[in-house]
Formats: sequence, structure tokens, C-alpha cells
Amino acid sequence: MNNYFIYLFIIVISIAGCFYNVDNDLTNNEIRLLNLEKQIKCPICPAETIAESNTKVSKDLKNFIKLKIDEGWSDDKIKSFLISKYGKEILATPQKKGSDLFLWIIPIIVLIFGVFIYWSLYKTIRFRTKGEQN
Amino acid sequence: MIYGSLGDLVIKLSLGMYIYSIFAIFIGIKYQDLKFIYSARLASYFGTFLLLLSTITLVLGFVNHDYSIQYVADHSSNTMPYIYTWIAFYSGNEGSLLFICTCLSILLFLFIQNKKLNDNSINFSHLFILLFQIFLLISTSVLANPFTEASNIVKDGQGINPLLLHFGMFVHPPVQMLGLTAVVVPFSIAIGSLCAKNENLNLNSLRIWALVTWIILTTGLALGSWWAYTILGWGGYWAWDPVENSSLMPWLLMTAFIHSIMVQKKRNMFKGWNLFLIIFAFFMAQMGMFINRGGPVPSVHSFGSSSLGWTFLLFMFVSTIFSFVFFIYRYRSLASVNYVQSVLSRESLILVQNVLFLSVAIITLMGTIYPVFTKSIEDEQIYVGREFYDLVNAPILLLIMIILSIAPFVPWKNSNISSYINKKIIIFVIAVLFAILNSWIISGHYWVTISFVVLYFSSIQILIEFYKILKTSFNKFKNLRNALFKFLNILYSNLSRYGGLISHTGILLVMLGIAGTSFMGIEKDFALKPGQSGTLKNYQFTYLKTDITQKSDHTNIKAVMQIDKNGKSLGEYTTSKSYYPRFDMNSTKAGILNFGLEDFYFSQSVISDDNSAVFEVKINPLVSLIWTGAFVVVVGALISVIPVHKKKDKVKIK
Repeated sequence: MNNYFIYLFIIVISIAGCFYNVDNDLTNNEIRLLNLEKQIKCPICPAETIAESNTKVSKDLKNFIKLKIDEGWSDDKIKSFLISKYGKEILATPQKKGSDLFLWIIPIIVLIFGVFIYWSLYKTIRFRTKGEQN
Repeated sequence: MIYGSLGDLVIKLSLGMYIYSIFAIFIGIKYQDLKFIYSARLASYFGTFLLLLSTITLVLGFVNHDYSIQYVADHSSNTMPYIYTWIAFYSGNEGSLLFICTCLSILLFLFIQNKKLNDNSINFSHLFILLFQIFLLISTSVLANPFTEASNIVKDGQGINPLLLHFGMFVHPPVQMLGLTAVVVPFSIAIGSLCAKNENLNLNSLRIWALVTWIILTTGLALGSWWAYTILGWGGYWAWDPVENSSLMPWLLMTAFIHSIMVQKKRNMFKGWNLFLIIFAFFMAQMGMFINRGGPVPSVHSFGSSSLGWTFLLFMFVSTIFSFVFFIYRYRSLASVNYVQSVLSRESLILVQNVLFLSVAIITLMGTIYPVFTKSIEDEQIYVGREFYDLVNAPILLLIMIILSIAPFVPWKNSNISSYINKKIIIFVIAVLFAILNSWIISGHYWVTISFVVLYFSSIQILIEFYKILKTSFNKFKNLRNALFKFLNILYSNLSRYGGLISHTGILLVMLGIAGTSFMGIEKDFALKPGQSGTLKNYQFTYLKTDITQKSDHTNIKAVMQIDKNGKSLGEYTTSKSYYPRFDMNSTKAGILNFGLEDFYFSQSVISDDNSAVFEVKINPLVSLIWTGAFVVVVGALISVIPVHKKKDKVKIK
């Protein structure tokens, strides 16, 4: 049993050791800008965010967001401002509140259902065949 | 001209052939008359020939710029490069339909040739493939005929979507369409065998066709992501776009399926589950075709809106309901004698993996169609983007990868958990140490480290297995040549397993690549004037100049960059952007410099009048692993498809 603890110790220490921050040369505001760009949809493209799209509107929106970040607006404030201007379709992904919370609950339902499938297959196969063997 | 009417005639003749074929096979099965079955097969062969002929006609129409065909006028032009006229025929809705009909007819040909006439499960499978083929052909010849005559003949055609003018166009769309269509073959084999009361589901044939389909789907996905990375100009390879999702979902289910039929092969279990998976996979493949052909979901890739999508939707519902009713009706006959004995056994882990793959597929499906629901309820267009999929699917996929590194090395039936841990813990610790060392060298993010752990844990076990085989062969034969021969012989006798292990290693490399680009990639926009330079990490780049060339159908703006890495000059590289006024579309060609595993990526977005430009600059670490890994996956899968003629003396490995 002692061996396990030694191994466990090594694993925990080593995993903890790799949780250091990666130096990626970007400032905090730049990272925020990048993240926001990926959450805001380009208003005139079929399904691209402003980070991906090369249209002029996207560039303007990017500049706008950059400006507001530098002015000290929070991410939420920028987003709700854009929603009030363009409607909910400006978001690449719905927020986790209101009626769109349902979208975020779907995966949980699916996973619970998955566990159910696993158990039912596991069990029925077991019981039925045991019954047949008797 | 001749091509239009000839092609139209030939396509209708082939429809007639297939309709005859389906009646003949029906009569043949009903009265057990082999003559009818034989004639049905001949008719199907001839149908393949006719469809090939009509495809060739369409291609010739394109090559000779026959604008009396509406479809040719809409999808080609005099100025388009000659080489693209050969492949432009599948760039639109109608032509791509003809393309998938032809592909399916070839698959059907390959499936029925050299099969015994009195094998009813083959005949039923033939019947179901024919049903789908006839549906496709009716859609092609009636609803979306590529040979429709133009109302007025133009001098020059519309031309092709400029994003398609790329080498990726030669390979990705046909492979992807072929893959989605090919799912019908394993589906029909499974349902057909069940109709013929072959409860074994015609397993060998099913396995090979499922694997072939899976290989095509995998290749399609890999080529698609590669195309996106090099041509779409946003530096990514996967955007969780509806059309991408619709090609991923059947892949997920086929992946689950090719694993679970292994359980059926070895342990004779999970028959009902397998049938469920393949029905669902076929459903997803049709869903993919529906979304592609003018479904309700906005996407960058779809064929434009056409009403044809709804026909596909209808067929999808009918075929799925029929299959499930039939499945429930025959469910009892699919019971198994064996059962899952332990949570830690290979069949149990495969079941977990199956359920997880199914969950990812369902979550993706829900995310894809969620906007449609909200639009009908709230009348507000919303989008479900990558934030949702990344957050939800990535952990499940990671869990699948962890299972992947465990399951192939767990015995069937039963194993003891504590003795298992005892056996594997040293390997695990070594894998962790290696991973940390490795991650430290490339200063990796912790998710990259975790990917390394999974990769090493799996690879070390694979190496140990090979070592054991090598040892047994050397113990048996002292002579080097004989021993090596023995070694290869053992490998050959179990090709499906070793092919699978190679594929697993490949998929772990893909995972490492994805983790690297997602968590260690850097991107930044630089607004530069000519002569100015910027720095990102250890790269310095100077924007030199812009060259503008005016072509007949587009304007090409080429920006030249001088790039240095660690102070060393690498030379001049270009990124170009072409504007096609006819489509009001830009096609971007990014500059990509590859340094082993790391890519330096830059593309221009806006160029002002004074030549100052905005550049998107990215450093994508480990990105080449994605395509290398995908290649390894395909090679492994191809190895496991090779039919093995087993010798009588089976070799046991301890």
C-alpha cells in the first residue's frame, strides 16, 4: 500500500508542477480582446465571429471593443451594449441566462441519459442472460 | 447541344434500370427465384455504367463550356482555370447530387459483385441500398436535374465560388460527400441481414464496409480542416459550423459503431445496440445531407437555399421511423447469451465509449438545431458558436481519449481492478514524468501536458505489447531471420488489432495538436504601414510592400513580409487576397511558415489606400500534428481493413 502513496505523491506533485502560467507575450487587455472577439458574431456573415471574418464591419467592431476595453468597460457591459444595439444575434453563443439557459442544460440531460443507457444495457444483458442460464 | 439531352436521357435510363432492379430483386426474394436476382444484379451493374456515363457527359459539358446547360452556365466561366472545369461539376447542388448517385452506384457495384445469389441477407441489403439510390436519382432527375436546358444561352458563365478555387476542392468535397453517402451501405447490410433473419448481421461484411465508410469520413474531415486552415484565412481548422457539425456527427456514431461491432465479433453481444447505432448513424448522415442542401441553419458552406433539403428531411424521417419500428419488432431475436461481467472489462469500456460518443453527437445535434427552435418560438435569430461546443464537448472528448488509452489493454470479460492498478501504475508514472519533461521543454500549457500523459500512457503500453511479441518470437526461434519472420507472422495474424492501435496513436497525436493550438496558440492583429515591423514572441516581421495585379475576374492584392525568427532572417513571404466582384467575395491565401511542429501564420485583412494594412498574425504550436495524426489514423484503419487469411495454428501471446 505504501507504494501507492509514493506514486500518488509523485503524480500530484508533478501535475501541480505543470500548472504554471505560460508566458505568451500578450497583455491582459489583449487577451480580453481576443476572447471577446470570439464571442461576437459578424453581423453580415452567415456564421463567422468577428475574430474570423475579414469584413469591414468586423474590423470596426473589433476597434470599438478595443476602445471600450481601454476605457475600462467590463466584458459584460460591452456585450450588453452590443446586444441592445444589434439584438441577441450579435452573440456567437447564447448567454447562460434567461430562456437560453435551456441550451446549456441539454448536455447535462444528455449525459444523465447516457449514464442511464449504460446501466440499463449493463443490467438487462446481465439479468436476462442469467435468467436464461437458470 | 448534345451533352444536355444525352446526359438527361442517360440519367433517366439509369433510374429505369434501378427501378427494374428493385422489382426484380423483390420478386426474386419472394419466390426464391435466382434468375430474377441475377437479372437485378445485372441491371444494377448497368445502372452504374449509365451513371458513370452521365457524369462523364456533365464533365465534358463543363470542359467544352456548353452553356446551353443551365447548370454549366451557373457554375463555370470562360475565365476559370482549365483544370477546374474538370471538377466544377460537383460544386453545386444538382451536380453534387449526380456525383453522390454515381458514387453510391459504384459502392453498390462493389458490394454485390462476386456475392452468392442465394444469400438472402445480401439480397435484402441490395434492396435497401437500391431504395436510397432510387430516392437520390428521383431527386436528381426530377427535382434538381443538372442537365436542365438554359432558357437563354449566355456567352460566358457565372463562374465558380472563388473559395473553391483551391487544391482542397479536388479532394475534400468529393470525399466528404462520398463518406456521407457510404453510410447507407453498412446500414443496409445491418437492416438487410435482419430482414433475412441473419441475426449475426452479416458481421464480416458489415465490419469491412463500416470501416471503409469510417475511413472515408475521417479523410473527409481531415481534408476539410486542412482546407479551412489554408484557404479560409482565419487561421483555424474547425469552427463548429452547422455543416462541419453535420459531417462530424455521423463520424462520431460510426466511430462508436466500429468499436461496438468488435464486441459483437469477439463476445457475441450488443447486437441490438449495434443496430441502434447504425440506424442512428444513417439518420445523422441524412441529417448532414439535409443541412448541406438548404437546411434551415445558416452556414458558410452550404449549397445555398434549395427546397431539396426538405425532400431529404422527409426521406430521413420515413427511413428512420421504418428502421426503428423494425428494430423494435425484431429486438427480442437480438438477445445475447453473454453478458457484461465487470465494469473493468473491454466490453464495458467500449460501451462507456459508445455512450460518450453518442452523447457528443446528440449534444452537437442539439446545438446545431437549437437556433431553429428558438426562431420558431421567439422569432429571434440566435447562433450557437464554438464557446458552447468547446465548453461542453471538449471534456467529454478528453474522457474518451483517456478511455482510449486504457481500453485496448484491458482483457475481455473480466479483470480485477486492484491488480490492474498494480500492473499499470508504473507505466502511468513513467508516462506522467515523460509528459512533464516534454511539456517543460516546449513550455506547454497544462492541458497539453495532460494530452502528453494520455499519449505516452497509450504508447508505452503499445510498445510493451510489441516487445512481448518480439520476445516470444525470439524465444521460439534462435535464428534471427526465423524469429523476425515469426514476429511479422504474429502481427499479420492480428492485423485488425495492430491497425487499430496505430489509429489510436494517430488520434492521440491529433488531440495533442488540438490542445497545442487551442491553449498555446497566440494571435494578435497588427496595423502596419510599409516599412514598419512588429514582434510576436520570437518572431519579427517587417511589412515591405504591396503588389496589386488586376486579372480578368478578380483583383489580387499581395503583401510581402520579411520575417525573422530569433533575429535570424528567414526571407520574404507573401500573403494574398483576391477580390471577386462578380461574387462580392474575398478569397484569402495566408502565408504559412512551418517549423516542424509550429506554424507561423499571417494573413492580411484590410488594406487602405496608403498601403497600410492590418495583419492577423498567429503562432500555432503543434498544429501540424493534427494532419500528421489524421494521416496515421487513416493508415492504421487501412491496415486493419486488410483481410487476413488465418492459418490453422493460431498464435497465443502471453
